Amino acid sequence: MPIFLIEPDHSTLQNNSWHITPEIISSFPIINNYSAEINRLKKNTNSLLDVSVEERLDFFDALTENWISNPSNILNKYASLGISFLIPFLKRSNLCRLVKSALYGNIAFLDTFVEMTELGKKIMAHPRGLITHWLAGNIPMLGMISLVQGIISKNSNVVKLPLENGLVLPSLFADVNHFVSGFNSEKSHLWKNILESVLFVYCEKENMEGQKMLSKHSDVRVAWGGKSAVEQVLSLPKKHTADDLIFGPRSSFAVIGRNSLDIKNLENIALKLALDTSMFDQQACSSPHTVLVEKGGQVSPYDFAQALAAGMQKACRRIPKQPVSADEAYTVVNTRSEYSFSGEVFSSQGTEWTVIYSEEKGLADPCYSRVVFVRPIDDINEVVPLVNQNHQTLGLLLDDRRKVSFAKKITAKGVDRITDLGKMNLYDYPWDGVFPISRFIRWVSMD
Amino acid sequence: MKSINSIDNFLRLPPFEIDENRKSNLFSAMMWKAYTFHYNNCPEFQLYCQKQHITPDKPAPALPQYPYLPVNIFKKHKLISVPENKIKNLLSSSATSGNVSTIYIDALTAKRQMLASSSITAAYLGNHRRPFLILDEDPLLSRSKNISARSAATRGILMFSDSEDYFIKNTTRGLVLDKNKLLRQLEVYENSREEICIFGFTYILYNYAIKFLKEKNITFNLSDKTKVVHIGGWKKLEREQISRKSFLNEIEMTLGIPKNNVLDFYGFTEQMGLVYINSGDSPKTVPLYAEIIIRDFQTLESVEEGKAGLIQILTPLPYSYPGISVLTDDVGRIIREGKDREGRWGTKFEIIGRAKKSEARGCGDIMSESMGKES
Repeated sequence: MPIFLIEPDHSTLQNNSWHITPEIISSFPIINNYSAEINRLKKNTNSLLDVSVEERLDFFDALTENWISNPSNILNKYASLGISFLIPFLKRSNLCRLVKSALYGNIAFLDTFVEMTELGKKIMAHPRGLITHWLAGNIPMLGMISLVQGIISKNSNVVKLPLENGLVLPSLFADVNHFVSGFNSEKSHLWKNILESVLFVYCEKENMEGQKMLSKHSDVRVAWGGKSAVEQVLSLPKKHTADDLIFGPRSSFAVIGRNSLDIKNLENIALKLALDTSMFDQQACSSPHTVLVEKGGQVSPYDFAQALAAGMQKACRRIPKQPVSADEAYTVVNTRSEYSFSGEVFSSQGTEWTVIYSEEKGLADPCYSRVVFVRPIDDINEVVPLVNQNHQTLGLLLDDRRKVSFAKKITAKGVDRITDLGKMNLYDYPWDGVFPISRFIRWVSMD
Repeated sequence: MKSINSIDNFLRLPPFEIDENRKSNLFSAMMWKAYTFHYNNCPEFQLYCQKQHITPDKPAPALPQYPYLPVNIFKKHKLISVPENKIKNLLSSSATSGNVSTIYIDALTAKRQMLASSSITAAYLGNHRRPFLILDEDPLLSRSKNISARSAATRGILMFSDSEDYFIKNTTRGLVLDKNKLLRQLEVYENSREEICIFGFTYILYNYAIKFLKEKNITFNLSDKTKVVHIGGWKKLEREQISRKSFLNEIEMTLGIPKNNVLDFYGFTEQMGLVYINSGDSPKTVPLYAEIIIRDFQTLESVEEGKAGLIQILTPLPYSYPGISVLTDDVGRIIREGKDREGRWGTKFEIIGRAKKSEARGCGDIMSESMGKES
């Protein structure tokens, strides 16, 4: 079973499907000599080492400006795939902050030796070499998070695409190429070369020889996906010097304190949480599935559930729901029916969204498909024992007096991010406990 | 009780002789009687229906407006519409996981199940009895845990047998087909030209009998009145890329039985007694005692003919539990209404598959997991 090369163009898109199907696979060219292909990729990348980080940031910034100014094209094409999440991420101001925060406040470390007075020497951040990104199909744009950081840090990047939504990034890169080709500037050639540091491949999960090949060449292995997917990557042989960055399965939830919610802000807060729930149809690890509402405030947990239902309806207009499968539809109906016996169900007529109020304790098992559970708690500290390392993001609305103390306890148990409601899905850093770019570089020093 | 008696009378009508117009009013009236009964006698069902604002003090709704219970609800809730001391039998669905549906059956429901099942089956098999060759264990000799669920699935059809031969043995290697015994019996009936019925779970029938005959190049020319009845779904055969067409062709080739004599039965524990049968490559026909609705995955609305969705079945049959409107995890589509080529009235439909991740729960699935390789 071979490793296939996937060129970033639109010709592979058949029947407007983003998925890699057996028919499409047979049309991909086979990489006969993967080592030679990697050498070629590294050669391309190395020829660009002098392209500064600033130049790279300019490139992504110009790209987003172009996309925003031509909204009918790119934004519509990728509307349901998370492009609205990607654009703010790619903006110069954001990427610059990201790189700075991972590099002790100075992005120039990626370009040259810089005096580090505390150490009494000069240091520099070199790329690790080759990063292989094993992507997940549920949120196709998420792979851009690690890929862009791989490009900025001057690494070579191999992107192992998933079957589900596997053609999204090659198509997006075809659009990036199109932008670069049409850009009337001397930078056009330079930017085109930046794209040459990326190679898209497909290799079947069962193709262990191919998977091993991908792994053995990697200096950093980045794995996005579910438990079995990331465990498979971790089980592959690797260079003893290679590093792993695992973005495995996590889930998220929200907590609202009793003194933080009143009649005035109820609608606004409910809408923010509804947008968090609706973005990516709860497929993201940062999507909330349960909202725990502390009793005793001006707004009861039940009233909040009702307000959240209204918010979900509004959010559905703003972020249209992706079609669900038979399995998802049945799961939604089954969950609604089950809770009709033991709680209160607020929902759309169809399978678009569901809010379930019940007085059960603990966090609900995620149902996905925009099904969110609202549960009352007597005190915010009841949440602490519920948390473990499988929990990634906590959307929190809590008075300042209790916030830091609560945050310390909850993050000690496993939560990596605490955000305001409405910001749960915004990619920020650290993510899953790490600054990814800091794992993509190798620090060197000189007296 | 009067209203319930009228449902019993309704279940005595022939299953495929009443046209759609006549059925429509009659069926709606029976459904509303059944709904009112369960609403008034099962508190959990009442609560469920109240939340959907369908209450007996209002006019009867159109069929698609009836609240429906997903089959999984019967795994988590004890739903009974009669006093518990009236319950005579518990029906459990087969399942590969620990979650099983439990259906509470009283004498009247059992009687209705038997009545409906025999009327529907007779419309395809005829009323006479014949020898049955059964590709399963003899329930009297069995040590398998799941035999009771399988027996329940087959009990109805054995009313049409005058003798039964079983061809699956439970050995230390698992369940195995007694191939020599099967070959001997097929030869006997080939020579006698006697009408028989070969019965089995779809996967077992194909993978352990038909495939074996085909590979060994053994063919029989059984009486052209012989029927092959199979139940349990296509999931496993589809995985092995065996199409319905090749399944029928291979049965015809190995046993000499016309394709139209191959009957595929579909039904589920939550509405035991109702079977949906198709002969050969024709679609299944819904009997008078039930109606099918296909629900769109996105809108959950009832969809038009030809469009795929989740299968919902309505029937006034269950008395002791409120399984009168059930949403299955099977995906299907309505082919057309009207008569089929044998003159049977009723909505025609086909099953496309099962909602992807739902657990394999068919008896055949479980039995096939237990099958050893050789006899």
